[in-house]
Amino acid sequence: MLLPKTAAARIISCDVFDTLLHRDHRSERQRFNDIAVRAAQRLAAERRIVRHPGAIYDARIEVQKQAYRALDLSCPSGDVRFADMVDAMGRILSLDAHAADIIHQAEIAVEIAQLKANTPLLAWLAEQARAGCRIIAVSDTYHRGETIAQLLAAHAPDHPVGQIYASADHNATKRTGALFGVVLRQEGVAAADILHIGDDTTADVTMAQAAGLRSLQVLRPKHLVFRRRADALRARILHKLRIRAAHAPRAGASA
Amino acid sequence: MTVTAPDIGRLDAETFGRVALGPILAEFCLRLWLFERFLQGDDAVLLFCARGGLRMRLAYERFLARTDLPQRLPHADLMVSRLVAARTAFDPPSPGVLSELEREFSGQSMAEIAAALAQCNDLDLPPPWHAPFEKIRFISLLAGTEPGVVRLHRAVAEQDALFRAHLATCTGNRRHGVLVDTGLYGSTVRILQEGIPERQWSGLQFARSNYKRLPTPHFARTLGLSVESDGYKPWEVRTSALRFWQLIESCLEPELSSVRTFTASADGGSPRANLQVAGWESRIAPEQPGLFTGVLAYIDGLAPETLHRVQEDAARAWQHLKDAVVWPDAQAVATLSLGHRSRDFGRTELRAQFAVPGTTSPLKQIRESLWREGAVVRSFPRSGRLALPLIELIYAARALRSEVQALRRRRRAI
Repeated sequence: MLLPKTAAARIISCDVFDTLLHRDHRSERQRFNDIAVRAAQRLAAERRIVRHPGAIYDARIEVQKQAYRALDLSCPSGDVRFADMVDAMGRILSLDAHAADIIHQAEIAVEIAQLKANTPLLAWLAEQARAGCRIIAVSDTYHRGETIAQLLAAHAPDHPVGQIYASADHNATKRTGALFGVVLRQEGVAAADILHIGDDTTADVTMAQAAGLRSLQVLRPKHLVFRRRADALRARILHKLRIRAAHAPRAGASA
Repeated sequence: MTVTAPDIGRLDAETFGRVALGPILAEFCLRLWLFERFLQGDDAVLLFCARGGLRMRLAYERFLARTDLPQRLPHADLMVSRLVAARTAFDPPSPGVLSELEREFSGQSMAEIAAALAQCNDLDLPPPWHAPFEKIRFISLLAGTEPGVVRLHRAVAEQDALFRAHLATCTGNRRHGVLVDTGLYGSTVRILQEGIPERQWSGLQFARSNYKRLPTPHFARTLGLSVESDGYKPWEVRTSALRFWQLIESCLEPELSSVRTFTASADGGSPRANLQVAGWESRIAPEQPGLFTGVLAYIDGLAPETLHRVQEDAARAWQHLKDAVVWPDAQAVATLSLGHRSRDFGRTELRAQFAVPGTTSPLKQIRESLWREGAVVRSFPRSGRLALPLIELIYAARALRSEVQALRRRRRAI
């Protein structure tokens, strides 16, 4: 990761996932699986509710898929809120609000366990902040800003981020450019005064530049990208095998 | 209520509806509810399209009632068909209308098309109209000023105005019409997008498939909630619905005519479609036990505390469906035998599920049947099942070839 000596900007805007906070080699599907396993254990232990991790995983995949497809049809520049997804998951898993909250907590716990601070970038940002730059985080995510703050605080308690713009809070995303408009209005600076740093070519480079911001792309190593793809395939196969195993003993049972 | 493998010895249509189609349609309802839950804004209305959509609405609203899932958007029955939609984009005919006409009326004359659109056999069109359909020729003939052509334009415009009045009643002041229908290509969505562009249109179908191999400009806004594939793929269990699509249609379509015409209301109310005969609402649910009563029986057995079983039941049900449709035995063929299916688009001819024996060779009969695997077992009761692996192999090779072609197309596009 090559960072300039000085940002030459009034504001440095930073993407969060895979920029400020690094994910490891695990795929999104594997993460959902880990969340499902943790949630199933807690539901059984704390509420005596038996839900197969595969069912929780399926509900998550289902809700997220349909939620984003519905969004594409009604408000393509907006975003889905995690609380809404948890509410829907709770309903289709026949869980009350307290039990559904366990899914929420499992997600945050797994995120905290699997994320890691990008220490060199955070150190550089701290240096720029001391030189008078304002540091903000701008993320396309279904999580709210307060959740991002919780994740940042867990991994980098002294982080220099002064404000968090999450797409779920503003119903506007970077990948459509709408969130950059929100940032510019709320920060009250010219677009050219902001340097945006992120990993995603469309959201963090193309759309940032289209909004007039300067951009700097920080890419994750290629081997990590391949490992994640392989992990996604592995998670998919394991899930199918697990579901098949869960169904097998009941196939001949009576209704 | 968890569904399990049916006792094949007792398999009747209602049992099959409860065990296989019930969980499959409950899963569809769950997905539709997720869409309703996550569609943003208050500008949308769910329009359940006649005829299949009428039963889909019945099943969906019963599903919501049994599971306590909240309804967020208004629902309405939309009296529509491809014929009705085509009138909205007829003057001049849109690309979607021309594609549909070319496919549906292949080899038939332009006068026959005009008669279907106007629902009138005495237009008295000039001789060139009696030539087989050709897009360019059709457009130029429509520009004519002969009395018959004027009558055609007037009849189509009158019917279109009545449909638009019906649509306005269904949507109120909401601009986003979300069409809920069985599938497959979504012609109605495509044509309404072209004919009434001032509104926003989306389609939520049970299945979406470009089996017609036509352009798909509407697919970005037309989704198959349960199946999305252009053909049967042996390794995707859901696509088995496409091997015998008429089974799904037959389960969901009530014994009511397809929508062809509207009549203005004498009291100034909303126009009525020909489907809306006296007591039509009570005819949406069947009186006799069958596939759809089985579906409703499964849905009636649901409750908020058992909703979490729907996905698991559906996973098993898809396998039941595939076993019955792709690997049928004599019992399945008898259970899943349907009546004649309508050809539609303003026509009254029917198509038999199995081609008539004796009029052609057995192989041709099988090829012309709506359900080929069923026709094989029916035509060759002793040895038919031995041919099923061969059919599966042919479909596997065909699906594999189209997957490779799609992969190549994607690579070229990058």
